[in-house]
Parts: sequence; C-alpha cells; structure tokens
Amino acid sequence: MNTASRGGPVVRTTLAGLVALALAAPGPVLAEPAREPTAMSIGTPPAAEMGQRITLQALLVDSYGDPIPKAAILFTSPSSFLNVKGDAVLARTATNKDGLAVATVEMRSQGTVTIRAEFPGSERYEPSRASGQMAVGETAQPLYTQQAGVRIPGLNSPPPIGPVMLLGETPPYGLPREMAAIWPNISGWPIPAALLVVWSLYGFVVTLIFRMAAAGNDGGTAGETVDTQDPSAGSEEGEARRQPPTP
Amino acid sequence: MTNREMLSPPPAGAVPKSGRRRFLKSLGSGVLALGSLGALVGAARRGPGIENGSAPHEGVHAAVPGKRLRRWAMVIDLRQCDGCQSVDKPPQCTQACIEGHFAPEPMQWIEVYEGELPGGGVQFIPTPCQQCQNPPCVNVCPVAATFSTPEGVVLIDQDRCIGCRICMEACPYDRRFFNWGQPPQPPEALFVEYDPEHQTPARKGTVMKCNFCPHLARAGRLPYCARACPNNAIYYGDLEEDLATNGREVVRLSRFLAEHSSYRLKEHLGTEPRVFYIPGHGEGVGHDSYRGGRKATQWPWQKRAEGAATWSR
Amino acid sequence: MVALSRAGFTRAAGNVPPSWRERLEGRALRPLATGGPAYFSWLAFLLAVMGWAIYAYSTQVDQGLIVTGMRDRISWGLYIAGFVFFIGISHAGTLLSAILRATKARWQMSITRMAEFITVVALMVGALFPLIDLGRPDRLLHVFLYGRWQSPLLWDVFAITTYLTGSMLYLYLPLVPDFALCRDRLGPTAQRWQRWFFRAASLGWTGTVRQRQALERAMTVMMVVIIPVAVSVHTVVSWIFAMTLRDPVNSTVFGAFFVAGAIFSGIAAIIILMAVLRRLLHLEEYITETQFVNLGYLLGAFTLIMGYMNLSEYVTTGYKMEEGTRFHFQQLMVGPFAGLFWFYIIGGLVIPGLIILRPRTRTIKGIVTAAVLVLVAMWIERYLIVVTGFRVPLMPYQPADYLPTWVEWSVLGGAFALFAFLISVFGKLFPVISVWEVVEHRGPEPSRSKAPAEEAPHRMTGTMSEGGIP
Repeated sequence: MNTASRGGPVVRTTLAGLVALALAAPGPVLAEPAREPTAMSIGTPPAAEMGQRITLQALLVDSYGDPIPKAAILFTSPSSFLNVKGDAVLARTATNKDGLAVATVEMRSQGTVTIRAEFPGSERYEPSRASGQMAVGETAQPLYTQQAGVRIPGLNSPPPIGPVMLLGETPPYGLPREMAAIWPNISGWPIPAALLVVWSLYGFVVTLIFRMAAAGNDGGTAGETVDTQDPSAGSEEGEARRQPPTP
Repeated sequence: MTNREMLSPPPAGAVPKSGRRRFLKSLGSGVLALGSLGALVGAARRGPGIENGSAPHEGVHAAVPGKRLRRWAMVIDLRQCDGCQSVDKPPQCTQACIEGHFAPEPMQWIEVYEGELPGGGVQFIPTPCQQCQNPPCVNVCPVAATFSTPEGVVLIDQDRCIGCRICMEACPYDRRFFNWGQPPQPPEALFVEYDPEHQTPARKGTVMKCNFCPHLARAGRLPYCARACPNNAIYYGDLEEDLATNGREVVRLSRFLAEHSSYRLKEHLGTEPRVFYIPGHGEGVGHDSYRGGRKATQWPWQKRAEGAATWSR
Repeated sequence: MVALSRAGFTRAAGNVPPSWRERLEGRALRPLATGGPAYFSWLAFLLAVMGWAIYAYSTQVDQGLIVTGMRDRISWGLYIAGFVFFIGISHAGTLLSAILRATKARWQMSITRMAEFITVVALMVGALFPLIDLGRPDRLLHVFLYGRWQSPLLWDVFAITTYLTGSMLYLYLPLVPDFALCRDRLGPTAQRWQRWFFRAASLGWTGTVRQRQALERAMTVMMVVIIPVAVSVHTVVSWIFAMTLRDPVNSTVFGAFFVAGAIFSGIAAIIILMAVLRRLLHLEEYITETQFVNLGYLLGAFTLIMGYMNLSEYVTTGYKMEEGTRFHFQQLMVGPFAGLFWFYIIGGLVIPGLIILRPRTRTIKGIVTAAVLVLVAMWIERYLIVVTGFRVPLMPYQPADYLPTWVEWSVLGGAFALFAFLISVFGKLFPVISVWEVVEHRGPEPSRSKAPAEEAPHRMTGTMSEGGIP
C-alpha cells in the first residue's frame, strides 16, 4: 500500500502560530477560516487481467488520523486516445463512515496504468490526492460484444455459397465485409431448397413435354387412334359421352 | 495477401513502397488531406493533446494496443451544441465534412437538424450516419455494396453499387444520399484512386454517406466533424478500450454515457446505433433554447469543381 | 372439314350450317390467318409510343436519374409503382388458369387463354421496371455475381423469374392441341413461316392416349405448382416495402394485402381484355354474360376482401396513432393525396362493389365499367403506397414533394404500349380461346348459343384432316 502523506507535527505547529497571529492582528490574512489538512491513501491491486473488474479503495483521514466521512472522492486515470491526453474519470464516489471510498472499475487499457484518487476539498478540508500503479495484462479476446440480434439454433445459419455468389464474397480494398441480417438469416437453407423444388418440377414438366413430342412422332401407335380435333376422345369423359344413348 | 495484410491498408498520406499508381494514389490522398486541412485551419480548435504528424497506432488496422480491434463509437453532447450560432457560421461539423470529403451539394453527411423541444424551443441535433450494429441498409442491399467492417463502421463500395436505392428506403435516419446526376468532382479527384473510406471520386448513380472517417481514426486523429466543432461537442471513442475524446478531454466512454443519461436515436427500431447523444439544448455554451435558426449549409469546394449537375434534396 | 380459303372461311360442304364447334374454330383461328390495315396501324401506333419511351429512357441513361422527379427524400416513384402494378396484374392468369381450373369451374374455359396471356405479358413488362429504375444499369450483372440471399430485391428476382418461367410453361401446355388445330385447319393456306411454326409448336400432337396423359399430368403439376409460386411473387414484392422501417409500409399484413390487391387488379384486367377481344373478334357466343357475371362476382368478392384489408391496416394504425401514422393519415386522407386516396376507396372499392351488388347494374357494360374503375384505382393505390410511404419525414425536416417528369410518364406510357403490343402480337400468333378445352367442356350452356342442338362429335380416322366423312 502506497502512502503519501501531508501534514504532521510541523505543519500543525505552523498553523497554530498563524491562528494566533490572525487573532492578534485582524486583517485580510484570515478572510477565510483555515482548512484542515487531510491525508489520502489509495489501495489498488498490483496487477490485473484485461477486462477484469477490480476494486479500488481510498482512505481519507484528517490531520489527527480520524476518518472523514461523506467526502466526495474522484478516481481518475491519465489516458491517451487519438493523441489527446487527459485524465479520464473512472469513478465518482464518497467515503463512508470509516473514511473509505470503494469503486469497481473494469480494466480496458493494457500496460502500466496509473490510478489517482482525488479529494477536491471542501469548506472544512483541504484537497488531497494519492496515486497508485497497476500492471494490466494483454489479451487478444475482444471485450465488447455486439448485442444485436438473437441466435435461434437451426434457423440462423451462416450463408451457404448460393448459385448467385459465383465469385464469392471477395472483399476489395482490403476491407473485410460483415453482412448483417441477423434474423431471419434466410441465407440458410429455405430459399435454395424452395427454388430447387420448384425448378425440379419445371424440369419434370419439360420431360413430359418431350414425352408428348415423342409420342406424337410415334404416330399414335399406343392405344387407339382418335380424332385429332376431338381431344376428349382420349379421356374417360369423352368415352362416356361417345356411348350412343340407349333407346 | 495474408489476413493481417488485408486488415491493414496503408494509412492516409503514407508513402508507398513501389508502383507509379500507388505513388499517385498516395499523392492524391495526401493532396486530399492537405486540401481538407487547409479548409479546417480556420475552424479547427486544437486541444493541448493533439500533435501534428503523429504516428498511427502501431501501424496496425485500428488495433488497440494489445491487438484487440477497435469498435468505433461517437457521443454527441447536445449541451454544447448551439448550431454554431455563437460563431455566427453554418454548422462547422457539416462544413468540415463537406470540405474534407468533397461531398457534392446537397449532401450533408452529418446534418444538424433542428428538433422541437416539449414546451417550445429548439434543439440542434448533429446527425451523422448512426453506424448501426443491426444496419437496415446492409440487410437489404442486394449486391453487398454496403457492408459493416469488424470495426463496426458501415461503408459503401461505390464500384459495386447498382443504384437500386432500397438502402435509402431502409435507413430510418435519412442518412443516405444518391448521386442523381453526374456529381461535381474536385480537381484532386484526378489523382486519387477510389476506395470506400474516401468515397472520391463520387460516382453517378451510386449512394454515399458519412463513413465515420476510420482512416483518420487509424492515423490517430479525430474525424473532420469532431475537430471542427468550436464547442468540442462531438466525442469519438472506442467501445473496446472504453475511451473517448473530443479533442480536449479524455473520458471513459461507458461511464460518460451512464452518468449523463445518454440515449440513441429511435432506439425502439432495434438498429443499435453507435452514435450516442447526451440530452441538452446548448445550455453549456449559453444558448437560449428559444432561439432557433442556424445558418444554411454551404458547399464552398464546389466552386473549384468540374461543372456537373446539381440537384435539391 | 373443308380447307379454308385465304380470304375467309367457307361453309362446310353441303347446306348444313356450320356447327357450333366449327364456328368456334373459325372465330378463334381467324385472327391467325388474316391481318388488316387496322391491325398494322394499331401496331405502328404502339411502336411509336414505345419509341418515344425509349428516347426518354436514353436521356435518363445519359444524364442519370436526375431527369426524373425522384430525389433523396422520395427516392422511389413512378417506376416502382409501375413495377408493383404490372406484377400485380399478372396474378390474373394464376387465378383463372390454376385455381379455377383446379376447382373444375367450367365457365372459365373460354377465357383462360387470355388470362394466361395477361400473366406472361404483365410479368415481362413488370420485370423491366426495376431495371429502368436502376442508377447503374450497366452493373446489372452484379446482381447475379454478388447477389445476397438476405435482400428482398433478390427474392424478387428469383420469384419473378420462377413465376415467368412457370407461366410460360403453363401458357404453352394448353396451346399444344390448339397449335395442332391451327396446323390442321390453317396449314394448307397459311404462310410458310406459320406452317413451320404450327408444326414445330404442336409437337406432332395427334390426340393419342399417351400424349393426352402426358399433357394432363403436366398441366396438373403446373396447376399445383403455380399457385404457391404466384402467391410468393407478390408477397416478396410487398416485402421490399414491408422489410423497411418506414411507418406507413412497416406492416405485417403487407404480404396478404398485396396478394389480394394483385388478384383484384388481375380480375379487372381480364374483364377489360375479355370485353375488348370479344368485341373485336366477335366472340360473343363463347364469352357470354356468364363469364362476365362470374368474374364480376369475383371482383365484388375482392372489393370486400380489399375493404377488409384496408380496414385492418388503417384501423389498427389509426387507433394507436404512433408518430409517423399521424402525419401519414394527414397527408393521405385530408392532405395533398386526399383526392387520389378517396378515389381509390370510393371509386375503386365502394362503387364497383355496388355495381356488382345490384342486379340491374350487373350487366356486361356495368361490369366492364367496374373493372376499369378498379384498374385505375389500383394503379393509384400502388402510386400512393410508394410515394406517401416515402414522404413521411424521418427526422425533423419539412416533407419533400414528388412530381413525376415527362421521362417517367413517357416510360410508363411505353410500358402500357408494350403490354398492348405484346398482347396484340400474341393474339395473332396464338388463338385467344382455348378451343379444345372449350369444346371438351362444351363451353357456355347450349341454350345460350344460337347453334343447333349438340350433335355427336365427328369421328375420324387417320391423323390428317382432309375431308373427313362423318
């Protein structure tokens, strides 16, 4: 646990002297009452994995070592993003009756991370701060996952190579493509299957047409020859009608 | 080409190794960048952290240090947006984007809408492409001309687009634009080899839109709109590393969104956009919410362009 | 049977007046044998209209879609409305040929051929519209090289191609015996190309049992297959709208709505074509009031179905009044589109319904009037779906307006001209009545025809038709 403390017997004496001076010589020196010094200490684990949730603690005490409750504490971390540097706020919290502020933070940046706890001060107390360091490990596993869509086993399937995708999904310009349509991902089996069924039936009909043509070329050797212009002759109906009515 | 190479095109402005065409291409990209920089000089506000000519993040395709891919997102702080009334100019985000990308008139890839507030008053809402995670435009495209990259950016391949415009029907945010006639081209277009991240030269009969400037982000810079905003209202961030910046400060993205009651446009449609908004009406820059009206957008670069058709929205 | 002279038909040998069947054959086959100046000037007029449309389209190819009235906010217009309209009409054939055939309704035998004509021609014309609407028609191949199953437009491509192929098969199959009839009746006097055409197309049909069985089986298969294919076609056409998030068209009933509307407009188209061809070709004996009245009943039934669908749509959205719905109702019912909308409701649904309902108006003239009203109203309805669907503002901006330009109107006119042209050409190449089916099922009741009482069909030996002796 790192500690950095301000205050102590020396400062305390100086302050007491100043107070005496102020009382003896009224003036703008003490236009505002003196604020008490405070001491902050921060507790961070020495190392963490990427994406791990860690607990930060900060303890705020006054110059007597008594805890300061209900003090607003800010946890920040110096970060750099797109070449802009700044202190990113990790958590805002307040100390409890034991002077302890606790915050949970998820680690997202790898390397050596500095974490600062800051008390901005109040009417009664002076500001104070503390900082600690942590080593965060690397990972190749992405931490952010998209929430879009729902996966239903058997119905969402990755696209097969369809007859139209003859050239495949070649990504030009070095940019890979991710195609959405999360549900319904009808690139699965339904559409190709339906088309296959229908076009096979068409094919069957075409073979029947060829069979008709072939039967025509035979010259009607199968079955009786009938009136060309009386197509009902080949059907049962026509047969029934052709029976002469019995007198 | 290995997978890694496919994922890492050279950053804009980098000098290529060989080939006259690649040289011209880089020249053109460099010229593009220079031209747009020139336009931005007057408008851009640079925070203390931006360094000129800094190296891209390890030269790898948008990788977080640690090899995870970036997942770009944007937060627009409406408390700081007053439609650029305070600088008495047309909205600078739109102007910078138009100049930087040579967007033909009347395309406003990021457009500042004036919405009505309950109780009266107006709210300025800069609206780029929302880069949805369930993008309706990608879902309906018959030829896969519009697509998502793993970084989450939705791009358009204008060499493949057939101009059927079903994507424009599908987009619920009015963020896609069509080249109805032969679009005007800047002189720089002669030198540039087309790629979907620059969308130059514009092609007749194809669709265009905001593409989140991933080429700039990979080079370690903010997009044109974020840089140009005089009030630093636009934050550009990474959902993976959970950081965002507006050029002036760095914030933890998840925390920033949670603490400021952020929301997304048309959340109920399920498009899962990557552009978040922090509610406000410009009060952060002293804007009176009852004072509406902003200056009309202009397309100054078109004066230098080859003569071509123009049309209305 | 005697050979026919080039100029016309001669009576049968002797003083026996032509039988009902001979008259039917004569009337049906006559257009194939003759062609007067009226016909060719009609074709020339249609070709002129199409030529103008092609010129208009060429300006679009040259300058881009900027020559149309479409812009970013309303990016689909007359072309897509025309697409939906023509694909809708194509359901005429399916309904009559397939569904009614399947249910063995006798009265429709004389008009199935016309219905199938309409289907094939309407599909051909309708399929052109998305191509005309493309911003980059030079990249059409991309649809086949890079097509994605997930896209509603690709579902359209597959559905329409499948339906067109099926319809052409279904048109051709019952034509085979009629081509044989043409070959036999007109062969001796026909021009050489016609003789060759009839002989090739009739596949040597002689009415043998095996041929007959093959034909019946093929027709049964097609009859069963074409119905779900046709239903799927207009369903996927509706889904290019319903798969988007635009308020007025973001509706789950769109598939059913569009299929009902398609059959509705298809019936109207058949009625109109029936009336026209009946008058032109003197087919009053075979297309009688029965056909008109039955189709009129169907039309009336569909006014009720369409009314129900409209009610479902507007009552459920109107009750809730979600954000976009309010604007949509405003623009549609009391705003700029009120005239068109109420003409569609009253002139397209209420008035035709009343015409069919009242026996006094349920005449051929009344039914044809109803059909014309319906067809116009359905075109308007397609236009409203496309344009008002796009017009609802998505973000805070003023709604845009759309006015079609001369290019779009010319192309639409050219499409109608192409439709009429193809039907006219078909009417010259194929008999407009399916003779063998009408004969087989005896068509309209004998009491309505002026022919003498039915006689037993002639029995002939051999396969040629030279002077058979009864």
